[in-house]
Amino acid sequence: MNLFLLARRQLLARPLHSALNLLLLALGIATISLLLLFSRQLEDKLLHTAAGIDLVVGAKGSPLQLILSSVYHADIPTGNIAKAEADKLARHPLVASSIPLALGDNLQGFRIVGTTPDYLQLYGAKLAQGRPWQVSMEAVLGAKVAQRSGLKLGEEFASSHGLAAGGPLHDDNRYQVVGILAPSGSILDELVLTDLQSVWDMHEHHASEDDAEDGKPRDITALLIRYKTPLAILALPRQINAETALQAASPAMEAMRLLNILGFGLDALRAFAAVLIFSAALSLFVALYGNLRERRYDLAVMRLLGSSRWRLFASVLLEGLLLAAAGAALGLLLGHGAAEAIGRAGLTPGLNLTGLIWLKEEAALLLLALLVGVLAALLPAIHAWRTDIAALLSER
Amino acid sequence: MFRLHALRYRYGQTAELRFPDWSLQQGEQAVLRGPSGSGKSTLLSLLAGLLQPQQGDIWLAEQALAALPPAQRDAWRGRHIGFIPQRAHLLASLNVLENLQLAQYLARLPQDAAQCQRVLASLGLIELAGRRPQQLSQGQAQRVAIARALLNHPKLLLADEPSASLDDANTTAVLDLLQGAAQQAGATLLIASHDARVHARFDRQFLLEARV
Repeated sequence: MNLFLLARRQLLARPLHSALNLLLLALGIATISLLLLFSRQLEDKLLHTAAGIDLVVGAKGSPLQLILSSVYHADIPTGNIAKAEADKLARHPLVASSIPLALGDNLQGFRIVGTTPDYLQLYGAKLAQGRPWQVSMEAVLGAKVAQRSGLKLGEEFASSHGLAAGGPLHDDNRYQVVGILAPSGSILDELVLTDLQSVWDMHEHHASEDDAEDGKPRDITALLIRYKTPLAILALPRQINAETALQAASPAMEAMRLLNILGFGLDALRAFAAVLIFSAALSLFVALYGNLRERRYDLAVMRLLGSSRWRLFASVLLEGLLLAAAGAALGLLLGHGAAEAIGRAGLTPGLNLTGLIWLKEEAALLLLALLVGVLAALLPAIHAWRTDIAALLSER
Repeated sequence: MFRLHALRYRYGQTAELRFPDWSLQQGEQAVLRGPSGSGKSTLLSLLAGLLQPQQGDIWLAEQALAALPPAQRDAWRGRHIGFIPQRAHLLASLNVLENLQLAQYLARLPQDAAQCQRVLASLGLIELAGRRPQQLSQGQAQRVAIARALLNHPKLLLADEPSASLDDANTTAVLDLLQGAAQQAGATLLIASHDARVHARFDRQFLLEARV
């Protein structure tokens, strides 16, 4: 026998009340936990994917669309730009390095990106099998692409036109798989990488005559740039946007803008979760307080058997704490379970949401739940402390 | 076992109870009589340290009760006083055996399930050990409350109207049990009652007058 067992028994003696309070608190904690997991993983993904890219240059249009399409591969590009102009920019004194990207086709919905091997180095990608592409129509598959498509080294595939699955097949010109990347958790997992020339060869008939050189198209979709000096942060984007027909956008700025836009929605959901937790605290308070009347003889008898006032206080407080701890544990379990289920169901493409990680903030969430339990139980515990035993025991 | 000296207890501003300088020796048994409101239950609560007198002293086993700090007085009560309230007031969330173990725990004594079972067996209650209080008759619950009061080998057993709402047969059974168990344990027994059936069983009787 101890206070913990006693508090547990008291809670189990009112299973419906306890279960409802537990569920209310758990739902609030689960919602916050899910939001924390989502926002943290989204933020990490956005910043990690954009790491190493100071500036993206592409066709005029929405800067956010340019970043989403060229860095996160989550939107359609704003258009194409001439390779010659991109090359000129790559030689700019403020540019340390640049990586060209050419989009246009997909394999079962996974984008095929024409680029240079520098793109692999940008994300520190490692080959699990095979080698990098060397000539046109050789392809390296991201880990997730290989897993989903079932393609093996040496096998061939036909790409579909466009960036979404279901477009017309380029059956006349087939890619050969020469390498498969190890899973990295980066955007490369979901891409098919190939040489720029492959994309140009595939789209010869789409190329404009103006860009043709020796009869071959020379368009790219975007140029990923790394600055040589911090001075370029202000100067280069302004110069490109003002003096050329190109558009320059900063991934860091656009990522923050995106997070801010999403932030409004997340804040609303957080407020909803806070209301849930407040309701749980109120419900717990009402349950504990209302139950004191039924239990006043129990408390009197406990005093009679030698319990100090503080033990009575602690026993009621412990009930609140126990319920809060159980609610928090269940809530965290539900939140992480929901995150994992959402991720596995593919409802967050490109993010791969997982519930199998724990965040530091969740320790604070646990403390918040315990605080809710303590606050809800405080007044009932004070009433227990003040129980007039003599008066109760002499009641007939 | 206990001694009262110039004991007074005041309710509010005006109502005051004055108690004679009574005493009982270890192992003695007595009944506390008096009309309703004369202070029988109040005296039991004073003896148990649940109430503090405004004047006078209570000595229990040579211990001045008022000299003990509240927490120690609570512990002292748990270890040395067995109190049987008017109603059994067993904790509904615990079974009979656990209700007894609670008495050991709250008195800060080692928890000994075998001792609890021995006490239950000695009072013929062992078959009730696993039952919840809701499954007991009033008479059974009252006997369990007596077992709980006896468990920690108290020096003083206090019972408040133990025959209230019991029929003759149950009253006899409960009083037999109380008096027998107290005698066997060598505990002093003081029963507060206005029931003539109870008065008839005691040679030593304290009479409280109506409140002043």
